[in-house]
Amino acid sequence: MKKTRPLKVLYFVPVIILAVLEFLYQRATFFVMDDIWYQTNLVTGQKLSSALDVIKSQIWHYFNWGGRSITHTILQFDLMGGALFCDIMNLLMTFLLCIVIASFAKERIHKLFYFYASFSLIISLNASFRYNMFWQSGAVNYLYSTVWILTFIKVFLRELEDDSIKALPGITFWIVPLGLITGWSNENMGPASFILSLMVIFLVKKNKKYDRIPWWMTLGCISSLIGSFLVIVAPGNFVRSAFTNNSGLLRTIIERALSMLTGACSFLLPPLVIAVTLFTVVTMVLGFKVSNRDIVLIISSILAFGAMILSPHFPPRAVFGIMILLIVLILSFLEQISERFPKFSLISNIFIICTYVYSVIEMYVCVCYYY
Amino acid sequence: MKKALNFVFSLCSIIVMLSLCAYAIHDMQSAEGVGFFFCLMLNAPSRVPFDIATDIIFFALLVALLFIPVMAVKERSIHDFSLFLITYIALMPSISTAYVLGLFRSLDAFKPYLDTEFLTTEFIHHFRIEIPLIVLLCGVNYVIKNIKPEKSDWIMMICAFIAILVSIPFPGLYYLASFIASYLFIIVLFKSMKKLPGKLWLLHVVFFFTAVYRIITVCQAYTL
Repeated sequence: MKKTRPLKVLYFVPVIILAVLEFLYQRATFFVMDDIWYQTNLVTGQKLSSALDVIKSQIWHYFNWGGRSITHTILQFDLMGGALFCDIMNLLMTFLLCIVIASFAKERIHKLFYFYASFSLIISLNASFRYNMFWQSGAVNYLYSTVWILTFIKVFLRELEDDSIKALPGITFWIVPLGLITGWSNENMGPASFILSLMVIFLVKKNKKYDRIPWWMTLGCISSLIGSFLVIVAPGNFVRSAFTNNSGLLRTIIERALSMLTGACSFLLPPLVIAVTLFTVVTMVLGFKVSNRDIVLIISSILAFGAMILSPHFPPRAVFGIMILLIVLILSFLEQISERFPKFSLISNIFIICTYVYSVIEMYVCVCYYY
Repeated sequence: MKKALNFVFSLCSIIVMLSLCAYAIHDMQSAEGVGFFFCLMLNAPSRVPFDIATDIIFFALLVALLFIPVMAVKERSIHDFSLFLITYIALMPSISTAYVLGLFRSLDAFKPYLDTEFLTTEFIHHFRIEIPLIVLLCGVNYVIKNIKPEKSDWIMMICAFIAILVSIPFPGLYYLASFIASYLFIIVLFKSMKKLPGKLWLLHVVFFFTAVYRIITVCQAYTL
């Protein structure tokens, strides 16, 4: 125990430094654009004063503007809490997301590395951290929602990790709300999570892990499907899409193809290049067999990315969920290589230090700019 | 058969990429008026010959930048050239032809001054893919294949960092320093990719599409 303590300190000190910088930047980021609108009762235009105002606003929102009711409800409650409350919540959610990512580590001793690595990778590989982690509307829509989406994914994927794994306590009850909010959060990650759960059920059945598929899996899958359905068919989506320019079919195809190319080759390029390099090293150089868990994660990230072709707008902040899936894959590949070649763990650490230095400089510059 | 296919693919990608580059250079320099500047200086009746000459000079510079590292490595092939070309276009920061002309026209860029706004994240953006990728690939070569980075790799990395440091007191040289540092990093990256022959094809596909995307964005910026 004593031997590991200095190592833990080595991981925690940089995390605290980065967290302080992130918090300072959170404090410097004011409520802007959508934040101002969501601070009001969307029906009356008056300032939010009670939970009833939020419910009324979200009913109006669902029928007139968009289907992301879960995230926008949380956003409105957050905004009611004030700026300091939002800043603390954002930082806590960042920590929570890193904890969920750390739960993907195969070995218990690697969890701390996963946590530290994900904390810096979230900034360094992010195409638009200002808009998906610091801008309040973006933070709730992407950072917060990724926490429960990834939790849902983890709950399913742990069934592929180990045959002797036991079911989580009370899962049959809490998987339904979790599946529902997962599907209802986001137009691309929600349906991708549903398909992921379907793939896991198929693999569990194929591997004959259980005589009968557990109830919680079926319920989780169905609830995420219902959630995805609710977010996509919201009448507000159609009202909103009427505001966008209706160009011809050929022009639309070209525009969507270009936006997908921009998404992959610009917004997602850093995590994509690193994930592809490590995937190649694991499969082609070392000749490892990719685990079912990683295959499912790869397919889900491709599906989540592919779903963006249906969206008329593809802002950089929208790749947050896909980036998180790629970060999980990157860390999983690093772990696999380090397991086989212990010397490689030093390389993994140097790689993470590079990304950490980048994140600290980026945060430091942002903080300096505002103060 | 595999070798022939490899050759054809490499040749096609080189032709496609170089043609796109030529088009992008022409777009950029004619919009920025580099040829036109010389035309006005010499009171010439038409800008066309100057535009063509400028296109040729910048294209020749690009080809030279692409050829030198490939010629410097042992066991070079057409595939290596295509690999370096794609990686170069995918990761290099684009440098404006007007900026290059400006460096020769005045010494303003060489004046030292302290600009607090200079320290922007733009500067380190260029290095958020290259350095981690070099660490990973050199690490894989060293740990798995027992191939240590060469002395020249270390020298190039040190030179790249010096270029970055030099640009801190000389913000006018930022684009040039960023270009030189990126170029040196990409050479090191290319050399480490070469040590894993035939394995990194998926990464090349990603770089190929990124290169196409980057040329499209350069052309978009200069097309009215």
